[in-house]
Amino acid sequence: MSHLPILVIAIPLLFAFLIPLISMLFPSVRRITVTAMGLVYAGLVGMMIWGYHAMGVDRVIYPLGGWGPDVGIVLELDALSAAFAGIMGLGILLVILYSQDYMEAAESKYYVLLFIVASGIMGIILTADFFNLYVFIEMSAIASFPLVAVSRRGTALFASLYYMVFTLVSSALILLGIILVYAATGSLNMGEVAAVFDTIPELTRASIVGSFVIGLSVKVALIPFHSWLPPAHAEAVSPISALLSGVLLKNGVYMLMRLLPIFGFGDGSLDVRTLLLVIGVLTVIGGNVLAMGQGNVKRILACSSVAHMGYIALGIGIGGALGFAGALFHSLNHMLMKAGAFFSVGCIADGSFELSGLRGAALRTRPAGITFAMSTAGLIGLPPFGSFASKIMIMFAAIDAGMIGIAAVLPAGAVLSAIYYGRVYQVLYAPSEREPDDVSISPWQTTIVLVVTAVGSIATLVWAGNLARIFATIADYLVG
Amino acid sequence: MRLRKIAAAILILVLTLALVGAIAELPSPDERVSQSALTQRIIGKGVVETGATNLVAAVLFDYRAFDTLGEATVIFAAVAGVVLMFYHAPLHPSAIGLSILAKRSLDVIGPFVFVAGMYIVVYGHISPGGGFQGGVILATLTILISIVYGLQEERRLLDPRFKTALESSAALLFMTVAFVGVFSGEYFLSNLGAGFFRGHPGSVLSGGAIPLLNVAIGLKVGAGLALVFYSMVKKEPE
Amino acid sequence: MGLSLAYWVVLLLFGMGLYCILTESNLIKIAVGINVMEAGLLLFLVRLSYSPGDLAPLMGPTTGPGIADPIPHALTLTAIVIAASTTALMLSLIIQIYRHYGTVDIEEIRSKMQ
Repeated sequence: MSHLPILVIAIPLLFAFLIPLISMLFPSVRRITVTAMGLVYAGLVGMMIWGYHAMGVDRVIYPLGGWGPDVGIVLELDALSAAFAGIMGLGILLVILYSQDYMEAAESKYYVLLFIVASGIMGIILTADFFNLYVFIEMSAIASFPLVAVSRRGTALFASLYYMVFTLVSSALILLGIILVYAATGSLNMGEVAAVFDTIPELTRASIVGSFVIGLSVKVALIPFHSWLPPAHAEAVSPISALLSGVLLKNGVYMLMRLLPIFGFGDGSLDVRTLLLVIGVLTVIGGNVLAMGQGNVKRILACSSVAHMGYIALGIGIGGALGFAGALFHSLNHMLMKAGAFFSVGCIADGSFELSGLRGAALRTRPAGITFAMSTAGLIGLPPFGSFASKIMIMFAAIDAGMIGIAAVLPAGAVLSAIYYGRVYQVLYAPSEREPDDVSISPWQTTIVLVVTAVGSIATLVWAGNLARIFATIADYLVG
Repeated sequence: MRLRKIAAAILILVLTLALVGAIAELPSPDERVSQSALTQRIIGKGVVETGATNLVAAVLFDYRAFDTLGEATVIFAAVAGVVLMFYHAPLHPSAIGLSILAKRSLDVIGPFVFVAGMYIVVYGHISPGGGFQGGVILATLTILISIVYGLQEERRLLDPRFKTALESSAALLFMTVAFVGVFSGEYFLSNLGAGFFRGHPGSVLSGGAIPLLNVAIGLKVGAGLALVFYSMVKKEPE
Repeated sequence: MGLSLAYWVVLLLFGMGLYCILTESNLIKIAVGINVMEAGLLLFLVRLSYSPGDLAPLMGPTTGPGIADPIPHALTLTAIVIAASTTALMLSLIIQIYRHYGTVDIEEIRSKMQ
């Protein structure tokens, strides 16, 4: 165990620094090297989670440079970090494997940025220091901007800039919150701040909570701040869409779950729970309605990501162990299914994702067509797939808390999404005159990725009982 | 448009007023306030614990060195992003440089700029300065060369592949220093605890790993920013 | 209100930057707005570390009674580097957008994208 928490951050960084040298000196082996690096990264994350569970302790502290939490930066691995490390690590591995054939020209820089994102995400998950959190937020964000624009089409460049402006403003708000925390408490360690947070004067506390909640809402694309998401996720190349939707959005979810308990949910000064409930309802309905008006498959998937972030916000807003557990479970499901949908659509269509040009396309590339159907059916929330279970969990949490109106939002959202995915199916699976091309999906890595996401989306329902128990334990520990 | 401006102004006014209230509750810095335990600890023991007399460097490269690794990576990511944006853009053909007067002047001041940059990097732990500041000065030298001598000449002198290699190697130097702590049975980024040379605080050879990290950051920032400038001034094919 | 002058400047810079981002339609001006906003935050950080009469946190033979808090200095340096990196990246995106659309005005770009 000893050094694993730092290794999952430092090793991908080391890879990012090595890749330019490798592609300069040994260009022939760089592709296989990158696959191997991805596997090493995922292996380290897996070993860290396994080691954590084997130790059976509440939290593992890793003091960087040997300095304790009173002067230096410490990494802290607890149940919530372990759960998110698993979700994100798997997502990143899938993206790395799937990208194999994508970037011929600028390959080395593409993978440099991908590994920096991988490292930044683990940093966000593991750090127990406010300012260090800001550094890692910026690190993973800055590496993702050029990835969105990697195709260098005009629309992609503009979408990337739009995404960048929103993200930078949200980071500035988070930095403002961190400065206020330091000014009010004289400490940056999360545990120390949590211990004295109640003693901060009323208005300052409200400002801290407010700037964090607004900043994170922009990152999670909750509805008044969602407008950056559809263009960025739709204009990026498919593996990056999967990275943004499946993995990077969960950064914000993680930070909400990590920070809100520290702030005591702003109790007394600013009622974050009610705020999240209102925004969540708006986001679920608004995201789904937005998706209905789109004529581009990737934009539909992107808008549906907005709606799914709404479900997760509802889970956090309902609060209690069940709501938190539902939100966690839904994060896992959304990662698998949305990433799977973007991966499949990348195999089905090439270049243009306008529905009008894709008549019968899913039937021509059969394997990807099947996985696309499975992932999107899962996104609607149909029974044989995992997100059925997580949505039911959030619904039960709402009923338990006596919020029947909130509980009704979830089936309503599912119906709305069934309508627009139905339209997509009508086009993609329309029988066309052209014979099936019998295209096999070229690199073996892509096949593996598609199979993993498709099997995973069912497996989460098969193991729903066990997963729900794990997530409920985490939620209990968080809510206290 | 006008409506939007008014809405924005009102929104910002509300936000600012909330912040005025919040800041007014904080201890005012105009009066001497007792410093937090964290600050007192670093001011009291910083020199003994890190061997650096510049406490900002002590915080930056020892107590919070992990932040520094993060920010160095941010620069690395930004450089990779800028290079990616301008990938495949050829050199501006008309970049031939300035007159002989400017060229001879640069010949004279160039070495001094280089020495100043290196001085700020190497003395970062005992006087104001450090890797980032010195690295930026080193990068301006390459900018000066490309303006005065023209981009072709700068490219001949410092190949972009060389800069990329230098940037990556400097980053690897940082990681090597960081991993010494792991292999010596201490922790990642450990400084004096990992057996780095303490020296006599206030002299150049002191502060354990801090000067090493400063040099790594200086080279990395210098090479990285030079690459950013080089990528940006290349011209897209018509 | 008994707010130190520096804090008013902080709020002014922060508000001006945000206003610029929300209302301007010129991409370069939005980039400037983000930088102004960040400058406000950095000033806030630096101001936090200092009480009147403090010396710079350089320990030497002539150490005085009050030493400025070195932590915000280090944080500021980190934040400046991050801000500079994002600015470089943002400007290169804007350069590329300009090469594609021949303008840096959001409304014009939107109309050309249709």
